[in-house]
Amino acid sequence: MEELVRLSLGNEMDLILAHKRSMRLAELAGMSLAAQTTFATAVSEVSRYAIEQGTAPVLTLGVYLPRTSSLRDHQYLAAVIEDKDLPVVNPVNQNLLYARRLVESLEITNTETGSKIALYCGLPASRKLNAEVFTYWRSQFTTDLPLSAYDEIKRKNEQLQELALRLQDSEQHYKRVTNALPLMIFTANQAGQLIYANAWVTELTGLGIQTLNQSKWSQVIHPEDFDHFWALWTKKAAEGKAFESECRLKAAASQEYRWHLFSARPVISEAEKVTAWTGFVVNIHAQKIVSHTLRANEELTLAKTQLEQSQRELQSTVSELNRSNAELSQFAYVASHDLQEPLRKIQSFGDILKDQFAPALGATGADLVSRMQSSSGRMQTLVKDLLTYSRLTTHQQAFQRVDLNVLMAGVLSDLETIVQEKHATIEVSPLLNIQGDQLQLRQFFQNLLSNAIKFAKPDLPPVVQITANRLSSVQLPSNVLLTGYPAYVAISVADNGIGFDQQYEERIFRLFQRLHGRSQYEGTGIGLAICKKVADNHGGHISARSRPGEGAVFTVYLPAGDAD
Amino acid sequence: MDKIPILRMGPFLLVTIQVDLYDRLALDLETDLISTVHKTGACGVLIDISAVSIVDSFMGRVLGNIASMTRVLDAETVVVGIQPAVAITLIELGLSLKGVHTALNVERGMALLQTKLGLDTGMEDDVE
Repeated sequence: MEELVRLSLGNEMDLILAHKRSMRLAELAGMSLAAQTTFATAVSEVSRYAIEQGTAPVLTLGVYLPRTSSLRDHQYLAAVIEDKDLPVVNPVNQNLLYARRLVESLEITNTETGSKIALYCGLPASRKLNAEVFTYWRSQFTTDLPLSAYDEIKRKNEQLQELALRLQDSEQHYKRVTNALPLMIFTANQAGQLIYANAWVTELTGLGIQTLNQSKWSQVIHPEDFDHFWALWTKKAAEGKAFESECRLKAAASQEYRWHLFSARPVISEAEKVTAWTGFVVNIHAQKIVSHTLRANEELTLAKTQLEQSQRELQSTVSELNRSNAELSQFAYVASHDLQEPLRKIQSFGDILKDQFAPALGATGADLVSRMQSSSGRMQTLVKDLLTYSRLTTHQQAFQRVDLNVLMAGVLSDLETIVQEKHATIEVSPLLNIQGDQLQLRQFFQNLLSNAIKFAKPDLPPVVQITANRLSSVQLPSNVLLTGYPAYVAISVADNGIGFDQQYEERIFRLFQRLHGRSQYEGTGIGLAICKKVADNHGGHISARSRPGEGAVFTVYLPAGDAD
Repeated sequence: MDKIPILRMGPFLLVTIQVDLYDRLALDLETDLISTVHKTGACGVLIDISAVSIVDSFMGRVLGNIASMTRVLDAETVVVGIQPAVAITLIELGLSLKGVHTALNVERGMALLQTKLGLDTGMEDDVE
């Protein structure tokens, strides 16, 4: 059916409109006045029935053009009344019987959605009907002046209802859109109280607008940000300028604070007055973290660059130092090596002088030659010791397991002469294995033991005790800072000699440093320096404890030679 | 609220329906007419429906009722000015307006009433 005009049937006044519209349609369709009246009366009859029986019947007027071939030449004016609650139509109802008499066909259909009564009234086949005609007819119904005040009111009412419906739609649409946005949208008044907010506000805070307004968001805004936030709002609200603040808000779901950006702009009326504020709140936690991380990263990069720079400087210093150290060792080695030759010559020429020219020299000359020889002999010793010392740096051997018991036996046999001379007693407790350079270690103990014997009290034969015990790296004394090996062997050499003042502990290990005059105790001042060098070469440590006149204890920590 | 005026013309009441006649208005007219007949003792009622474009079963019933009720009150009712199209529809509907006197126009209706009641213009004074 080609629908032309629609009319809701609410009350008896609508009956008038129904029949007027029917008349008008029939008139437009070119029907005779009698036919118009007949059609309108039929519509009126059915409409009356629908108003009385139904709840919200709707009348639709139009033209029916059957598609079936047998009826192709027929066309009908049609009036259809539908109502969802129209009771199953009673065909013997008087109104319907009357209507049936007036029209060619009256059809009653019951569907699940309601009932439908359709009236059809034949139109002359000569009347050509097409879309243009229908458009014209439709326009007639909308442009015709209202039939009565009631008609006008009804029309306006329908327009209003449609507007209200569209408004509702648009509002729902707006709400859907704002609620779908992943941010909070709000309007607020001058005091910062929310007037409207989308669903996100409640979703995030877990609180209603009213609660938030009452508490001024105190449960939500981080306590550290709260005062600043409201101070800024008060300031901006007074100025009527855009407000923007970053603060932490507590999410109801996770109970964690997250960074959010509050932004609000004043709504300014024509009178230049701020009437309200509109704004949004958006989660900027991720950005905040990223920027924070970036900043931290920059600092880290800077620190790293500085570190690398100083490392490079350190490395160049170290290599410079190593180079000069190596040159120095080389120099010392070469020098001491070359110094020996002239000394040997002085010695042998001195011998020749004494043997072959003794009578010519006389007693004084012989004495001078002897002194010269003794001096050159001392120098020879010095050069030899220096050579030994410099070898410690230039001839570094790979470490191996060294049995200290065997090593110590060798050392003692070397020192046999001096031990007998000085009537010294050497007590050796069972020793342990260590990791190291056999040759260097031998020099080490030789120096240490001869030192202990040398610095004996004049009236007391020297007694030297050698003990050893194993310490794991954590058991080391706090002043001994050693790493690199899991366990160390601490070897103590204790004597009953003259001892020294503890303040000289560092000094005695330095090259050429002597605490006593050469006339009292002979020596070159290299022995303990060699000991320290060997200890350092082994990744170990040497220290001394003493008091003047109370003997001394030298303790060396060397890497243990076995895992257990 | 609309109201259809009822004019008194001697012993007769004259009603001209010039507006769209919706149900309430029709029923009000019915009541008003009966009470006016009762009040004035009019012996004839003339209803002009020449401006009415449609008379459906309800209106037909109302007109029939008015005729029956006025007759009970000893007054005759004549409906005049029925449009041809309305007449056709009435017949198609099967409503013959039984008991309602009809006339082509007001003049003929008036004459009909006078004949019915055996009155002439000179008897107006008797009506009270």
